[in-house]
Amino acid sequence: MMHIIKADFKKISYLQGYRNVLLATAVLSILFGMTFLFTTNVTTGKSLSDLSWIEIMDITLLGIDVTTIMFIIFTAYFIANEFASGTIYTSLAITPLRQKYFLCKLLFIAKISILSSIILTCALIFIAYVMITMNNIDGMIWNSALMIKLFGVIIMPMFYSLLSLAGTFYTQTASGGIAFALAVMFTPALIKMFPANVSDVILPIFPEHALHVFTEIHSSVDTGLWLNASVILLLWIAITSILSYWRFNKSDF
Amino acid sequence: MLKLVNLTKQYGDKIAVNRLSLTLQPGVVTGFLGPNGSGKSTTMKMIISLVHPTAGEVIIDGKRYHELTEPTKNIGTLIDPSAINHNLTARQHLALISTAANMDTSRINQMLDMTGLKMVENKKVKSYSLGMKQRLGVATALMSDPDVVILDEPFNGLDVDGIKWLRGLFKQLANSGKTVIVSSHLMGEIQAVADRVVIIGQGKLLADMTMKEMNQKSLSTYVYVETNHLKKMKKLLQDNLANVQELEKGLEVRNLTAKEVGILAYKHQLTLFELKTVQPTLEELFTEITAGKVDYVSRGDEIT
Repeated sequence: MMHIIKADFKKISYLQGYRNVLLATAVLSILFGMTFLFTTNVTTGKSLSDLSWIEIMDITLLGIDVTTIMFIIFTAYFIANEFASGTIYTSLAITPLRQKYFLCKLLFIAKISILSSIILTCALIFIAYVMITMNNIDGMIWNSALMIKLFGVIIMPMFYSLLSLAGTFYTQTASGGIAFALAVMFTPALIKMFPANVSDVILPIFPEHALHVFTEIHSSVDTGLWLNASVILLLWIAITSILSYWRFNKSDF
Repeated sequence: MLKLVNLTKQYGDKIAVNRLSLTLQPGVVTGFLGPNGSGKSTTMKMIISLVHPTAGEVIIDGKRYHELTEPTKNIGTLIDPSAINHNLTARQHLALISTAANMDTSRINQMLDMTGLKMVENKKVKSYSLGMKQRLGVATALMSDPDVVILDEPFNGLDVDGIKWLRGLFKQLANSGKTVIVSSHLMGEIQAVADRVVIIGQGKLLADMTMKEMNQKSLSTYVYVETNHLKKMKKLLQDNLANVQELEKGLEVRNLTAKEVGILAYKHQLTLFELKTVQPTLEELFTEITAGKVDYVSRGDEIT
């Protein structure tokens, strides 16, 4: 199994297209993080020095949303290329056990997205930290609440990448994977337009709500809330993966 | 040993492969022939689990393909020469295969040398001709030195030198004890390389024979005779239960051997101008066997 994952990493080092997408992901994430940071006058009506350290951290980490969208695209193209180019013939000849092949792709995407997410989160935190220091904003503390927030930020690209993977395996097209992940990401925005009694029931089953449980700073520790959010996220990954694997497994190539 | 047992594939109402049973032996080059849509590629894909059989199974050394621990060591395949990431170089493509299948990387150089791609190993596949892609496909199939080699239409796009090389390679692989299965529309090529021919049409097994058997037992084999008294000779042969068809200058005789025809002519003092056994080419045999079993037939109308 490790050999197949290793081959996928090798593929990235060989193919400029994939390298460029990853490079663009890093550049755009940092660029957008900084843009959000330097436009607070317009977006919040406050200058940087008027913001608290947690607000600066929150705004800078919005760059990870860009990472998430870029990884949705990267994942869909990486997986769909196997189907489109026909290299799936060779891949399945090497790994005829389709659950093994599927699991390898899932682990590879999980690995690369979490690795990139950690690096970019660290970069964005560093930028936020520099801004906090330069503006003499006090009170920054590395407590468990902040750590949980960072955990939520780091897992977000991986989570949506895995949804993109599921969508791509199901439809065997990049557009299908991207559309599915983006639909899951943006549907809550539409649901919020419904009356509160409707949206309050539907929203908690969407991953956005569960991810916010982690990314928002909570004043008190609520293990039940985190546990509930974790279950929601795991269920989304499990159900979509099972459905896409089922479809992939019964496909003829 | 590779065994196909009642292998069947059905897509909706269409039966692509119909209860196909075959045993493919090591040390033999098997030519796999059939018209377009006859089920050749589907059968090959079912062997390596790319297509799920509706019924039946493929057994490789007592196991199914997906049950093999190192499947590429058992079977090497070339299904589609264009099924390669075109932005990779030949070396990178083979390196990825060797990493994914945990193979010895020293085989990469061997394969590049053997297929004649050494000179272009660092050029992207997108700049390759179909023939070069075929060579890379063959290199991919042979990377793990498999016991069974399955190649779907490997002669397509190859130049004269490539065809000559491939012929030699098949013989060499079979001589080293490997099972070689080659599908092709180029009957002449199959005739030149195959020890055994399997013909399928509309998913059914139409013929399975060695080249020797084909030459000896073919229904199309006949005796051609030219004589000074064609009418007399015809009557004589028909009296001896031969099936005779009159041609422009001679007779096409079935059910009698050339020796028997010669003895009859001698006994009745007929002068023979020509007496020979005519054996059909594989192409003629293929046309005869697949008659009425072709899914796609061109009408042959002239374009005006």
